[in-house]
Amino acid sequence: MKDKAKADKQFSSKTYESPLFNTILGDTLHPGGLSLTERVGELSQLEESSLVLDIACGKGVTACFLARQYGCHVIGIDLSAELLSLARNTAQRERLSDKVEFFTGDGERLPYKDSLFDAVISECSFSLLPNKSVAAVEIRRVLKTGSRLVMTDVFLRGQLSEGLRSQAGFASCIAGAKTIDEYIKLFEELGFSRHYVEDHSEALMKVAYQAVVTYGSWEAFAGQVWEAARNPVEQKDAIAEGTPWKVLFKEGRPGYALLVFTKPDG
Amino acid sequence: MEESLGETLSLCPQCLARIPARKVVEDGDVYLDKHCPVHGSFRTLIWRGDRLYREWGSGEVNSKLIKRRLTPTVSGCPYDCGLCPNHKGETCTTLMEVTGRCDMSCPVCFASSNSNLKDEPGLSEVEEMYRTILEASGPCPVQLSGGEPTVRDDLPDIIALGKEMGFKHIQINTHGLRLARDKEYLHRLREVGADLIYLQFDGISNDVYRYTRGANLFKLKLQAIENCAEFRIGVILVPTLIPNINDHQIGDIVRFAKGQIPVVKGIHFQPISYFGRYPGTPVNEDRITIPDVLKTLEVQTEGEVKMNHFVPRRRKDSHCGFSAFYVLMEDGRLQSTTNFERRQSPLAGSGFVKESPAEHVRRFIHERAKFVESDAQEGENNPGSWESFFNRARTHYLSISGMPFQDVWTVDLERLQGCCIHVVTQYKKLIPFCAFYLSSASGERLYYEGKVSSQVAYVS
Repeated sequence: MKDKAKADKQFSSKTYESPLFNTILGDTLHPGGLSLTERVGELSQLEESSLVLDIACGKGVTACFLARQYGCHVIGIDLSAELLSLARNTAQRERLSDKVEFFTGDGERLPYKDSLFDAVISECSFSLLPNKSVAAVEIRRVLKTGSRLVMTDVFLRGQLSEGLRSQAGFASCIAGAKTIDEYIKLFEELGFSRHYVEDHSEALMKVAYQAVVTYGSWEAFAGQVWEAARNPVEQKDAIAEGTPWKVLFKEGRPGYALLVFTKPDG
Repeated sequence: MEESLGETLSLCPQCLARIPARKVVEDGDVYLDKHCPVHGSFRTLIWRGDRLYREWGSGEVNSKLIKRRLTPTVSGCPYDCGLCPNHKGETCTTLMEVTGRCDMSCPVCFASSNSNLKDEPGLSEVEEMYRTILEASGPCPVQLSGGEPTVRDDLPDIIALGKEMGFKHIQINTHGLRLARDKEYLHRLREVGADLIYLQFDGISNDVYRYTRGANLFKLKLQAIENCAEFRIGVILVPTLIPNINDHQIGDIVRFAKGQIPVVKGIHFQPISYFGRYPGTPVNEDRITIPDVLKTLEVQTEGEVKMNHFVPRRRKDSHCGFSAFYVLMEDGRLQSTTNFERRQSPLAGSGFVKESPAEHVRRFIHERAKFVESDAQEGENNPGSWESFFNRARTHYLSISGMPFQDVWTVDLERLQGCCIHVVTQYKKLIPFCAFYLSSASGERLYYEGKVSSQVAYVS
């Protein structure tokens, strides 16, 4: 089971290296683009002295944007060496190397000491993590008290059975998503407070439209991503073919939301 | 208070000489200022509202799709068009004039058709022109234009020939009158694979057509669209926008188009430019600039279409055009699928996306013109669902785009060099659209029969 979770995470980080994702998501690699990232920044209570963690930072677009906008320091972690190298190049070109740093790191095992960060940001990455409770505990641990987790992610308006989720093969964003109530319950049970939610579902429709326009259908798009990310020999068995996208969309009725949670004092 | 937005080069409206120009902001609007040593100074409004002008910025340029430069650079831009080695914009679409004849004589025609009744190219000349396109830019989308292409009975042969030579997308720029009256002809066009009808469509009432085209044409336009629906050929509505003539119908045109989906695939606005049959010195009030169209769209659709849905072309000529894409939802609302990112990603154009802007446009033109039959059993019973959205994204979409052409008053040679719409000539050249149709204030064409007019004095 553990190995499967690991393989899933590796696979999903690999898929984001594919230029196909760039075609429908743009450089930020998440729905909503930089406009939504701008909103994330506004809600993160950032100052020049802030230290920010960006979980699954991709190509570092958010990290560079926040560092430039607020003058804060941002650490981005990701599992993909290729994306991290792109992120470092961008930082260098933007002359932000003293403000942003990028490291290999796993959202479920944050390599940082307790109460270090003034904000934690996660854009369309929480849904991809197989063990969400562990990840949430880790976020709470590294946040300073009174500081915020600001995340944007896929949420479900319907329910997906466990069978359907596992049939999806790996923790794709939709198969791994929860309802808004479930997200709130998860974080509040782990001691977060003062939740705040904004609906940005239109951003997800725009992504879906791009996929249809560019590749003919969502299935065709996903099929090409899989093909591109597949390591031909060892991972073949780890990925179930034929993810039931139609059913995932139909039953899950996914939307996209921005959520804020605060680590309470004391 | 004046602020300069940078230097460029332009042309003297009188003698077509290349002269220095400056983009300046005055009272929040953008003007092109230029001075000819012989004919004096000129100031032309190019953009109302400088904020959007700055935000749209200048895009990337990519010329890798230009396979061969057909003319050398001798006199400099814009006197060497062919394309010459200094041209930066790769071809998105090539226009081919298949006839100079037209059965109308519209006051607003940019091609000055019907004024020149010389022989039209025969099939072998057409083949030669197709070959010129292939040599210079490969099998890009082709628009057959004129004149009025449908005056030719052998237009189906011209399309068949292009398809045979490897052109995937061939569209017809037409007033649509023959398509309305002659179904058999339309059927033949469909049979040989005509991909799209680029239909002049200036408004939704006859008074508009009486002004722009000199006749009551609205009913015929409706008939043409109905016939295209019958034969499953997509239509783009192309309104020429003229201040105080049809700019009050911009919202009505959008509502009309919504009612014609899926046969109507998009609306392409052409704010009037002053060449061809429109000599004289246009004043600011004669100009509809890009932000004027966008604002009017928002106001006249009561916010269903919004300014921030629109994105510039991702090219050197980022101030040349605009586009937005919508899906018509079951509740009759247009769902925007595009929006302008005010903030540029630092990675934009870093080469991570393999497709160049022109490749993107070429593919888009081809894909979005297809007449996709609605898959009725899927999602139709479930309004608002993802199944329905995915289905409608393939069938019930609408593009809203536009491009005011540059005329001798507004022409910016930097933008001209980034131009991606080219006209193929019988003289084995590809000439950027705005250079091809450009004429001086007295009506003298810059390019005539493939050559720079002998009247043009190149100073500078």
